[in-house]
Amino acid sequence: MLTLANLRMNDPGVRAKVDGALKPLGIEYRGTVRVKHLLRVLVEDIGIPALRAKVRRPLGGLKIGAFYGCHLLRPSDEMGWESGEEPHAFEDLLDALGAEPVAYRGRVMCCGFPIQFVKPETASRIAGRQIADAQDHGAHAMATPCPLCHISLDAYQNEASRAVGRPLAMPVFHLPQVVGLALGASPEELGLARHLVPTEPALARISAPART
Amino acid sequence: MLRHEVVVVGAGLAGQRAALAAIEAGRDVALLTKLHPLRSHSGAAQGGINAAVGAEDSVDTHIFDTVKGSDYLGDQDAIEFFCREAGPTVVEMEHFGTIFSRGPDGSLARRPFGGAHFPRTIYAADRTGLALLQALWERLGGEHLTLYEEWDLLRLIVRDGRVQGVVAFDRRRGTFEEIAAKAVVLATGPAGRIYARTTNAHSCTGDGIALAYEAGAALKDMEFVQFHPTALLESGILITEGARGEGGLLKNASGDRFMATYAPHVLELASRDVVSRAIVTEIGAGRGFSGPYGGYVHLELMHLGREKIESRLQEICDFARHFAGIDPVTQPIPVYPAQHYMMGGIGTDAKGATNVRGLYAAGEAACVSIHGANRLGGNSLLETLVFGKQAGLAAAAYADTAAAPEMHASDLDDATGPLRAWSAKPDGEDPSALRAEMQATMEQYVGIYRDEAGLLEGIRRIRALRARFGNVRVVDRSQVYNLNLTDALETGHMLELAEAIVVGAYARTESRGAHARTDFPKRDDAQWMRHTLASRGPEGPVLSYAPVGYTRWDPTERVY
Amino acid sequence: MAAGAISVPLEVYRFDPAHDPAPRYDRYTVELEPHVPVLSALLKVRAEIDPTLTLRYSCRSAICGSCALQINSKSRLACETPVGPEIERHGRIVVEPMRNQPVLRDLVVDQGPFWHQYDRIDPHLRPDPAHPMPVDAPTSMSPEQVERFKETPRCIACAACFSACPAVEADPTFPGPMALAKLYRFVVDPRDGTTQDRLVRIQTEGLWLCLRCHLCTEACPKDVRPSERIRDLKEMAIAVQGATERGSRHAVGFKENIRVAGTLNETRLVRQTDGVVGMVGQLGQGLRIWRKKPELLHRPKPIQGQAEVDQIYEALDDAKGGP
Repeated sequence: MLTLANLRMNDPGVRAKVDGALKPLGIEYRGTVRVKHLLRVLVEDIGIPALRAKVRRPLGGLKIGAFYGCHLLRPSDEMGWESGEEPHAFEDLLDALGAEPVAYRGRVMCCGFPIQFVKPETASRIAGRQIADAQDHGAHAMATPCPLCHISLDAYQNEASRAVGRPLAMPVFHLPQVVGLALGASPEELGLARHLVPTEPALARISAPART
Repeated sequence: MLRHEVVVVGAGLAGQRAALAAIEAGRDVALLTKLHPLRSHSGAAQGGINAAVGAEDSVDTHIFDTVKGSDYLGDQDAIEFFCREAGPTVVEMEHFGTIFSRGPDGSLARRPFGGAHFPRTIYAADRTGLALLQALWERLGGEHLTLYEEWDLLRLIVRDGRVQGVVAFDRRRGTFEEIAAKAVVLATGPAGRIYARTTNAHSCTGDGIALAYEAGAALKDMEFVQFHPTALLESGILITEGARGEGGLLKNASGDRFMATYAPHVLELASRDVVSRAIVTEIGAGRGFSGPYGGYVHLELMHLGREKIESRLQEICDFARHFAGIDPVTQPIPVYPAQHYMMGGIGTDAKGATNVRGLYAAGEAACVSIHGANRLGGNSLLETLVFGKQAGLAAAAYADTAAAPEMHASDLDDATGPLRAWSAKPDGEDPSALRAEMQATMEQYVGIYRDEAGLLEGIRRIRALRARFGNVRVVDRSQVYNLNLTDALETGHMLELAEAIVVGAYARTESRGAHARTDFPKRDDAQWMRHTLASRGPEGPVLSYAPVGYTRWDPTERVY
Repeated sequence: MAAGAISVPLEVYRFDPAHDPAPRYDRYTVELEPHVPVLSALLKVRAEIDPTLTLRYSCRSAICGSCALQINSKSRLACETPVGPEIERHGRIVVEPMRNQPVLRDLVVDQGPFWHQYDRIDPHLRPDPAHPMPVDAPTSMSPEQVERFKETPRCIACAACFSACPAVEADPTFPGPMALAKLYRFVVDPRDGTTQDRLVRIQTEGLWLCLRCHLCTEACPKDVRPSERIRDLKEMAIAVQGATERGSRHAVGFKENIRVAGTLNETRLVRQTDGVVGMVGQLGQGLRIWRKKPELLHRPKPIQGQAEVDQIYEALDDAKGGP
């Protein structure tokens, strides 16, 4: 979203409007702040090899469905990064952490959150489909770089389950949490207890021994 | 049995305009089409629609350009009517909602086109056909209309010298249907797929023309086939004449603007037949490029600059990028001439009436004739609308007083018998193989340049293919969307028309417009300023000739 | 094999509901140059291997909109998707019919649901009787007005967007990207006299169900960018009617909400969108969340510089000519 806001600053009309609002405060914004998502920083600036080398507790045995979130990817011509429909950065990252990424269609779909306040049953049906898709492809957990996707997939998972008419029990990690786990942080440090869907069953899947 | 007063077959611009006219005249109208109306081939027309609305221009100049462009085979009375209707037609389409490109003063933007004295071609970027098709469907879709979508026409029922209805095939359900009708308007488009290299869509198989011919209608001037000079190499996708209208240049392998030799005054903007022959001549003389897809020349747009190319030629920019991997902003586009348009078709008068009572035709399926031996760019979109409306009005007027149609119990079985037989055979000919052989034959022997020996060979081969078609076999047994069956149906139609084209071309011992005989290189007005009429006989087409409509334009040599 | 040809393994969805108990995937391999489109691969299969394979196609130049399919799960026109990059990325090409429309046979779907949504937005120019069109002359329309249509006139109704849309998949009341882009085309048309009615009507007929996921914009072969035109429609609808629906109340509420403290008060946002009564309905869910995330119950403290945030809002409201 901030990337798109920067792009809109190229429009002289938008720029004049922003100038008009900021000038009285003595502030100027030219749209030059570089916006980069954490996932992209991890993959591009730190890099997969460097990250792999830092892993203390490989997530071996844990099958994770990456869930990208729309705004990280699309519109892809404006985001100028991954394919909007066939990205692989998140899976590359999960692989570096020792986890097993799961291939499923829902990984690039919408989580339903944007219409949670418009039509909750539709929003939950959308969330439920993606969770069920991950589950059907063998995921033990999902992970998302988007906090709103997290709300939809985790906090509203019981609603999602009802909307698609099947039981769902899918722990959903935030991106920093899976990285933190692999780098050796404790569940307490990562706030895993604050999730609505318990994460313990996923943690129990991790089979690889911790490295020292 | 279904029943309507007027059945329009084909839902491109001509068919839709005919349907609208008949509805507005108060008739109960059905529109029968093998494609959803918005998928019709009219939507592929790129460059524009002619109307002499500029202050410097005049209807008379449009008439003269069209008469000259036709190489004096167009009917001048029909052309006069046609050009006078141009302005009101464009205005009407604008009021229907067409989103045309505009000039700075808010007027309709115009671009120059080949064979025209002034910039007369009104356009919507380079998707004028799509813009018109959308607007017309948006208008017609609000009317009371019965749509038979994805239905193929199988037969016209003609009895007692007049149309009684049609038999059709519902592709999606696989059922045969009878529709009784007082009047039928055929607007089924061209048969470009008779040729291997064509800009036409796969659906352009001349079904209506072939079925009218089978039902006793005479086909007119079938030997006149237009080859568009600039089709994208390999795929044959059309690169609009608008590209040259905007300033695009044609160059041979030595980098020369070779059109200077063939049309020293207007160069790239000469008439299409002239430019196509020039390209073939250059390639034949070894001055073209060559590659795995044969000879070609370059169409250069680079000097126009990115902004002009990407705004006014947006679609062809996409075409070149997607289908040839060429960026026209920085690279020349490889082009060659490909079959593009049929001047000939079901013979009609200026009201769309054929020689069969109750049967009307319009658009590219018909031949009025306003294009004569060669059509000018920007005149075909106009033709669909002007004569679509005329045919719709005439059909409605006829249906108003005509007696109730009579379909017989045997009509359905008679019409569908052959199709059922194709599916019952244990073995036989593959329709797509027959189609490919026909396309190669027409390309080789009935292309841009023709001669007696080649045409005789063409006749022999097409007749042999027709004989083999008698043993065609359909292997797909499904009821639903059986393309194997429709392939066979279409191939049969095209073979009929291929024969009419090649026989007509063999008989016409002169060169005129798009019909270029190397053994008869001159136009012969004394002998040949007349229309060819082909009627279906037991041994093939029976030819006769009809005079050209004349008002005030004496034939002169055609120089650009 | 032509020079530079590659081997193209295809896995094609086959299903004839009248005869087959279940869909299957047939495998074919054809040799083609990498730039050749998937449609040519399928036509080669039809001509040389299996004439019973069925699909819709016509112009082969991305203008008739017939051949939209799922190609390796992406909704695309078969005629302009080259085989090479698909093989490079996936090693094979899985070809399936479009989604969100029932399969008639193989790759052919029943487009009824798509056209139904198109019809719902009243896709007909409705001139204003009070401002009749000029007699015998075209309407005057500046190039700038033509620009306002954006790329919507390029739409070829291929339904790739409809196939790709998760809201269409989940809710039959959502008109879908194509219909809404088409609606936009009428709303910005200076010749249409029903612009305001169209905007008011669509507010309650699905406009706010767009997820802003931009999957339609990715799928669109003509760069119509339906998701962006839907955003424009939302802005225009609020400008015409104000925030009357949950969706628009949420959008406007969000903006006003941040003004108060310079940061979002999430509990208040729910009240702004749903009203107090609506909130009660969500109480159970709220309690479950609040138990885990108690900080959501506290009203956020104004951020440092909240006064400046307020000033920015004021300046922007003034620029618009009022609140």
